[in-house]
Amino acid sequence: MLNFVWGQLRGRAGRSVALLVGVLVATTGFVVLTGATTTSRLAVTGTVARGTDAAYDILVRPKGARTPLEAERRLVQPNYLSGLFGGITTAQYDRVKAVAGVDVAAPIAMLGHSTAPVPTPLDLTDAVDRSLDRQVIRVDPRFVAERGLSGAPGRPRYVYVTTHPLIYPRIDLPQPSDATPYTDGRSYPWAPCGWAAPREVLPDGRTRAVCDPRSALGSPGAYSEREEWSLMAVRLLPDGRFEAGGGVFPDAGSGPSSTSERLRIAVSLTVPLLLAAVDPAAEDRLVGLGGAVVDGRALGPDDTVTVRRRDGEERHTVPVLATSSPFVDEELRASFTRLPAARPAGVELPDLERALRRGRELPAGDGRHDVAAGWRARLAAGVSPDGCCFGQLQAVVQAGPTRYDRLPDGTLRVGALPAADPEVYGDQITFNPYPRPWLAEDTGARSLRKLPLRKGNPRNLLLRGWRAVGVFDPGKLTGFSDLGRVPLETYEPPSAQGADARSRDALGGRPLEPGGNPAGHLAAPPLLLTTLDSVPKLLAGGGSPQLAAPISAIRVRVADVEGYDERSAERVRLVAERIAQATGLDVDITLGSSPAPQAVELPAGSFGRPALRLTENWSALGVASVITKAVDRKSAALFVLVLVVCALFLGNAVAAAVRDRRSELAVLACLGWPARRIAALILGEVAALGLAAGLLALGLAVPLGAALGIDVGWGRALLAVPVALLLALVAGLTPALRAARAHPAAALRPPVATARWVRRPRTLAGLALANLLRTPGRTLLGSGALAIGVAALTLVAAAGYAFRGAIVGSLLGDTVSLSVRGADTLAAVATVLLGAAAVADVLYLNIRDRAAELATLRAVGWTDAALARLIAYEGLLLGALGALAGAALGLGGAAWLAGGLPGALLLVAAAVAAAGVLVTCAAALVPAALLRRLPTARLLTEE
Amino acid sequence: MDATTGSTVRVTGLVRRFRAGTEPITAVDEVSLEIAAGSVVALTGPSGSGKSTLLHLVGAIEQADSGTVTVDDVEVTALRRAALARYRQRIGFVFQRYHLLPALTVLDNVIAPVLPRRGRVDPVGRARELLDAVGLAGRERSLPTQLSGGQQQRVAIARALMGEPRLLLADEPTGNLDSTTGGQILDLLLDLRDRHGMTILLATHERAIAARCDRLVRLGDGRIVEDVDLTDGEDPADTYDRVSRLRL
Repeated sequence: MLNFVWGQLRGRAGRSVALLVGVLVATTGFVVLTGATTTSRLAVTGTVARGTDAAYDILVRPKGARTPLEAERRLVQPNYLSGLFGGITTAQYDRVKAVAGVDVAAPIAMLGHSTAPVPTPLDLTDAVDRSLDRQVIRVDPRFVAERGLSGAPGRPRYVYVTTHPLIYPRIDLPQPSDATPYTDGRSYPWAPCGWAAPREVLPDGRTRAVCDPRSALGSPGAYSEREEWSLMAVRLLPDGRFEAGGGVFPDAGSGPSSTSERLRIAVSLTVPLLLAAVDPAAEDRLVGLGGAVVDGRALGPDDTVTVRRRDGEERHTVPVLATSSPFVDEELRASFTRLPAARPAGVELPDLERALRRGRELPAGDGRHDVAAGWRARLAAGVSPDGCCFGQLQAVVQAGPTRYDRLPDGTLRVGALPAADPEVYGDQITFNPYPRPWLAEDTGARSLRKLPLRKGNPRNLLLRGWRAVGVFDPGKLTGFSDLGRVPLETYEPPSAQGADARSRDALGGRPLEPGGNPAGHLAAPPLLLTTLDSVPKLLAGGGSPQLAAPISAIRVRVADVEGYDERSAERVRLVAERIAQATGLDVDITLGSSPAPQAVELPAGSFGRPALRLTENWSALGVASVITKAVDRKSAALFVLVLVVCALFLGNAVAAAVRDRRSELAVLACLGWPARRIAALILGEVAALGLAAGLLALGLAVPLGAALGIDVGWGRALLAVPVALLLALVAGLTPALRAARAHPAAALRPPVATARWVRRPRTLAGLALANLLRTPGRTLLGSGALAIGVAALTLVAAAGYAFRGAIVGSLLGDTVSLSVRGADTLAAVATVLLGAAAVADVLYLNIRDRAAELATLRAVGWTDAALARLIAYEGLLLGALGALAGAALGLGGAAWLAGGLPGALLLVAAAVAAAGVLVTCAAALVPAALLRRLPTARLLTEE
Repeated sequence: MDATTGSTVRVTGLVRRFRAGTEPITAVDEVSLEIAAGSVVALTGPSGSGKSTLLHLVGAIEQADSGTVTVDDVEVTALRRAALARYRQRIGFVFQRYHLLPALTVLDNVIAPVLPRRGRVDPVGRARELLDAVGLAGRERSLPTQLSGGQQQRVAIARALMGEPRLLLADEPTGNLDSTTGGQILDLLLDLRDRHGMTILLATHERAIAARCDRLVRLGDGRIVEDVDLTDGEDPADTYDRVSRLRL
């Protein structure tokens, strides 16, 4: 049997090769085109909630930024931007901006936490015993945060109050190498304090330095503010006022000394402030940033890092809009103790602490000051180049995301981390002018890292800082006020309520707020805003990967979306899909998101905060466009159509091949071959061809896919073999069964029947129609194949042109939208071409089967042109039938999806139908050309 | 039907070769022949002697390897493709197996030759006249499959006459018919010749048919082996006897 099959294939090499090529084209096309279905499919998950009004509709984040919780439960934690430091390039941002339908695309680049000093002045006036000529007031600070639950004592600060005169160093004058000029006109050596210190003038005229131990602590960034201790020298003037050198009184001027009615000393708390870069214009459009500026000016497009070089020192100043509130729940509490016997003047640093402990200790009151009040006081000075506000950027700390463990009841337990390496805040050579926040030593929830920045060297000191050009009030930003209704706001400070009685009691019925630890679970929102243009200058030369992809997130508002409705939701979904396709980034739809209270367990801290059970304002994403590897049903449907058309094409070809061999099969039947064996013979032949075509397609698919930019992969290419085999067998099944069932006498009947519907064809077109009606099955098959292609192309073209890339319909759902993709168009065009090829094949078979008739017509005087016109009419009729049916189908489908029948859709359908007819006519030229080679004489003699 | 005069046909040194597998076959070998206008010439000879090939060459549905065919001073063998089609429009061709178009009615089959052209003459009226002339009036709407062999051949003859030919080529026109029907077909052809004066060249291997022609040209292996004028006898029975003695 195999030999017989092989003999048949070899004996009819022409027809065998034609069939093989048919299966090969169909299989290769199918494998390659389906390869495109898994490249960037967007699946939509979740349901849509109503009644939300976010400032933006779509959130674009770097690929992989979506946390497992978001992916699985559609939950987004408060301050979702924390832990996201870059990942989106400016080119990707440009592509997002260019997406049709995007109204505003506001980028934000999270850079990290700067630290800034917040003054928490303490009033010691009442602690002073004015009857004493000398005394020390010891200030024992206690740092308190998180509603008082975390607290830690700091080293004492000492204030030496003397009635003796004090002289002060003149740091405004040129400094010799080891001595400093003083206010008495003389110069004194630095020793024994290591640095110029105020000096007490004794009654005998001698002077003694009052050493400040801060000068021996090293670089401030290398120690905690808890470890800082100091000794300040203050003179109690005869008139009752106080006099001190620079830096003692919080409102001291710039001179070497100042006086004050009250003894208020400047103590600062170091507060982390999250720095982010934005496009001021986009931010203004998105959240009204310009309108939220309460002091100074808004950021302008020209604001960028300024660099000043002087005396081997390079100062980089980043312009920022600073927040009007630091959103830090932290305060300094202090108790005052009078030490009447302490005499620190003239004591060298190693003996200072011991000297200050000497004698009696008398309680002298206490004081407290919180960060919020301190920040307000700082702002009150007004934005100015010398005043408010500034901070360091010598050490910028980036905090990672919180990690959660999920408990069975749905509660999330915050994963505790040990305190971060203190070096992230700076070391002895970082020149961070502020000590690190005391709470940085607490148990953390986020890992910290230092933003790599270019370092200076001893000969070229590099000092970076930020300075406010204005102050913005986050409360005045759009959508800020109603925390319960507006999730996913960029500037919303996180806040967590106690979720059980114990926690509520611990918090005193108030919410827990960020405590000033960048590694803490509750992270403050961006409070310092600079321009995106500043980012490259800030990061240049530091080796940060964020330099190449600075943007952390892009918040997108979609045009013509007003609140939530299905049409808006669909419009937003389409824009999200386009953004994901254009950029490959993680895209989430925030329209339709809603607040979702989430129970969170916060482990106990190192500074007394007990474990708390909290309720946080998380956000539940309404709808998300997630790039998945799922099969694109829409595209797959198109490719199935390709396969169907291929099957029709092959079915026709196999049927014709079988018909060619009618007499031979009849002879086999007469020789006693059973029907099943005849069917097996035919199926064996097509299976052999299918197998060969599948193997060839296996080799062709991968390189062809690569040439078309489609990732096919060998795994998918292997599909070619079973697909080709199946395709060939399906195509051959019906002809094989018909051939097997046919009576041998059937071979004697003419290959083409007479017309069943007799009309008098008075024209060539009429004769062409009559001819088509003689083979209705074949006619339907050819035009049906074309109709499928035209319908597919009409749908795709309707999506592409009539609706500018999208059908936004009356129905919400995945199947509603047809977004034009290259692969879809390719598949649709391929289907049309295969349909046209099927029509050409029908015409070719018609010519073969009616060769004697055509020879007769030539013999009776028909010209070649007349015969060609006849075939062309047949092609035209087949094409018109297929194209019109296809266009009607496509039109119906598109109209159903669009919920109407706009004029543009009709035009598109007409254009596609016309294109289908034209392609078919072009395809008909091939069989028409065969007419010239008809062996007229032989045909007339043989028949 | 308009009266016409027949064409004169002159064949000179005509050669047509085929290849059967690797074997070359000369179907027509240096045939030269002159046919007077209005005569009826029977081409006879055994199968494969070249009768049909010679007809096809004269009818320009086959191309000669060498030699010329001249019809009414037109050298057919020198015509280009388009001119050949126009030439075929001016001759009539009748085949052994009729070659009617099964999709068309009898009337439309007759009209078929002029279907691509729009002439001044009403083709339907002329086709009806021709069908009437061949004895098929009333069968215009029949399909070929609804007719007998003789009737189908009459339709083929009517179709051949549609272009008012001066030369009618008939390849075994009675070969698929019984002798009575074949005789009737020949009667029809001769009657047409008598009425219109056309030249008829027909291939046949039937003595009764050949005997009624004006001239008998017998072919053997592609060559003319005998050329007999059958018009010199007074009695048709004598002619038949003479033909009977010939080896057709």
